[in-house]
Amino acid sequence: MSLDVDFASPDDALTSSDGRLVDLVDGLLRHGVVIRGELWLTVADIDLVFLGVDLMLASSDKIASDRQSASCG
Amino acid sequence: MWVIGWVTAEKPMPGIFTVPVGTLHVLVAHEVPDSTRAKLAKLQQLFKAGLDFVPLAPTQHTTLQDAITYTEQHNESIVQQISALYRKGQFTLTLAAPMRDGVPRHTGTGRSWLRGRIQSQHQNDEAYSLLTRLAEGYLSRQTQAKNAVRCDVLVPRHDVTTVIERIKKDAPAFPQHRKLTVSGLWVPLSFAGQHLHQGAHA
Repeated sequence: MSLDVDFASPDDALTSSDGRLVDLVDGLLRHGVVIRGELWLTVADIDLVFLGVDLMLASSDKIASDRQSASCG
Repeated sequence: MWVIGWVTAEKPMPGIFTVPVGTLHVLVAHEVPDSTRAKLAKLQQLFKAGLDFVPLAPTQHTTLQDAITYTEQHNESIVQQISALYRKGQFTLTLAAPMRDGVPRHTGTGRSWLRGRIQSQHQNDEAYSLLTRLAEGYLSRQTQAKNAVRCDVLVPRHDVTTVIERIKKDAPAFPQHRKLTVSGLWVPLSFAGQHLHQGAHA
């Protein structure tokens, strides 16, 4: 027994209708920096849901320390 | 206009302009692609052309003014991100899961369901461990996938051949018969906006 390995270039994945590659591309679309503004959730290249968001870019350590500082008053 | 992300220096490219904000430049396209997938294709095109940038999520639509304000407020974080992602892209490794959505279909007693759920989680942990072994030495993170376990790996552009050769060499030795899909080199979206640990492969 062994792993059956498939290699797919980004160009292949972006144009493929194979379910595995469509899911891979959808997964990538969920990432990247998100700042205040609008966000569309997408599945298989169909824009489905709109959200208004207000998030920030920061390390988890920074958020944890800020939270601790805030709770200490 | 479409705000693409950030760069540290102005890079003239067709259809693209930059707006200087402090030590950074906001990267902007004149034309907005007509879908999120088209946005991803454009990000990938810029990455493939050699541009190093921190990408905004393709699902994000923001005004240039919001992007400028955000840049002023988070200058240091963005500079750190650009530095951490410099000359790097990501591979995405997807290992097909043996169980649907990782949740056993069996209904029955609660105890048997829980036992099955624990077993499924154990299998997923093993699968993720296997993927990280294939990418040993590189920064990796688990991301969501449908009916699969997925691991995104941050790889220097010049290491692409090395990584592919290693996977080709090592994958047959793993004692599991499952489908592994390897895709890359992608613009490092999964690592943009993340805290990048120090000490990973340079």
